[in-house]
Parts: sequence; C-alpha cells; structure tokens
Amino acid sequence: MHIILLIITIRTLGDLCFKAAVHKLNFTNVSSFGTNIKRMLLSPFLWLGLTFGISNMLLWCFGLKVLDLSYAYPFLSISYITVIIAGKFLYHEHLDKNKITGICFIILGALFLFL
Amino acid sequence: MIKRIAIFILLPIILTVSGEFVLKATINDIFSTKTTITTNNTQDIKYCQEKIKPTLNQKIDCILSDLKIFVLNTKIVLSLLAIILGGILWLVALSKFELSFLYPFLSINYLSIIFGSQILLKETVDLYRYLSVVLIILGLVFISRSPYSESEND
Repeated sequence: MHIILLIITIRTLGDLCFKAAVHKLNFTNVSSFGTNIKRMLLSPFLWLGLTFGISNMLLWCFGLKVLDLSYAYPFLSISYITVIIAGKFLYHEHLDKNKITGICFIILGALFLFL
Repeated sequence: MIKRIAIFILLPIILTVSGEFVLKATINDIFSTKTTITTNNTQDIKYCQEKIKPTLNQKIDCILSDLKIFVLNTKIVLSLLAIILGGILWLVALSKFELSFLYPFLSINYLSIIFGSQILLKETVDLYRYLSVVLIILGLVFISRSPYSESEND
C-alpha cells in the first residue's frame, strides 16, 4: 500500500521535472529547433525526470509483486490530481470548475478501491 | 482519419495494456514458482519468504535480489519497454489531436485493464473496482472538457 503512494509521488515529481525542462523552450521557428533541443538536453531537470521515470518503472514492478493489477492501475489516476494541483501552484495553470469536478470524481473513484 | 486514429491512438493503448498484462503475469509466475523451488535453489534468500520479521540488512538483501530479478528478466524488461514506448507514442498523439478528443480514449486503457485482470490474470474484481473505474473515467471526461486544458502559452 505504501508503495503506491511512493509511486504516485515519484510519477508527479517526474512529470514536473519534464515540464521544467521544456517550459522555457520556444519552438516558434525552424531555425530555433537546434538551440531548443540543446537547451533541453543541458537542463538538469530532463535528467532528473528520466531518473524519476526509471525508478518509477522499477517501483511499479515491486508494487505489482504484492498488489493486484486491477487495484494498482486505477489507483495511479491519483497522479492526475497531484499533477493538476502542482501545475496550478508552480506554473499558474488554470483550475476551473470542470477540472475540479473531474478531480472530485477521481478521488471518489479511488475511495471505492478501499472498500 | 481512421488510419491516423489507429496508428496514433490505438497503438500506444495496445502497447501499454499488453505491456502491463505481460509484466503482471511474469511477476506472478516468478514469485509463485519461487516459493516452491526454494529448497533446490541455494541462491535464493530464504528469509525473504519467511513470516519472521527480517532485520534491516535482510530486508535490503531481499529488495536487491528482487531488483536483480526485475532487471535481468527478458520478459519484464520487454514489457517495461512496451509501456514506456506506449507512453512516448501517447505524447505524440497529444501533439496531433485535441485533448478533449483524446482523453476519452484513455477509458479503453482502464476498461481493458480491469476486464483483462479478471479474465486473463484471474484476479477477483469486485463491483467496487468496476465502480471506481467508471468514476475515474467520468473524472477524465470532465478534466478533458476544461476550456483551459489546451496550450497555456500566454
């Protein structure tokens, strides 16, 4: 059970790292393509994100060793919520009624897994 | 259009779902046979299976031995690669289609995982798990309907 929470945390951190690695890039014209790719590859966040990604896959193996797939897989949808909330605070992304309703449904769905 | 949907949307879904099934089936296989052949296998660390509470060092040994199994097993590595490739192709799909069109397709993932777990992996899937998947799908539909889900660049 604790392993699922760890996986959700790592997934969220990984996604945020990838966002940090690309969000200052600006692919408006073709000539900037090379410099953009270079900047992305030089960003420590890209490599941190990849590290999180690999550890996430290995942790997922440990998770599946002890948990049912039909239990663990729906549970990962919690990471949508953590990413949306982190996006709101770190990148000032919009959080509107539709997203909040969606978040509530996912939380409710995850609660059903406990029953 | 149908061809594009098949390539960019269904391919990542098939890769992810089949990857998850092979992964789970392989892990089930390894750890159910492991207990029965423990006695013949001197390499096996016995206390990993025992009910007695292991010390911290023993725990680390068990985790490392599992990790070795995961990294060296061809089937596990291939299924992990399929899942990763599915994830990358899904990102490609995100760049080609609108989010609100794409997200409902994610429900195929959840439904096939839950039906497949019951039929192929013989897991006991009760009504609550089905309800949970239905609610998660509803949640995804709402999130994809958000007018601000598209690009945020000022």
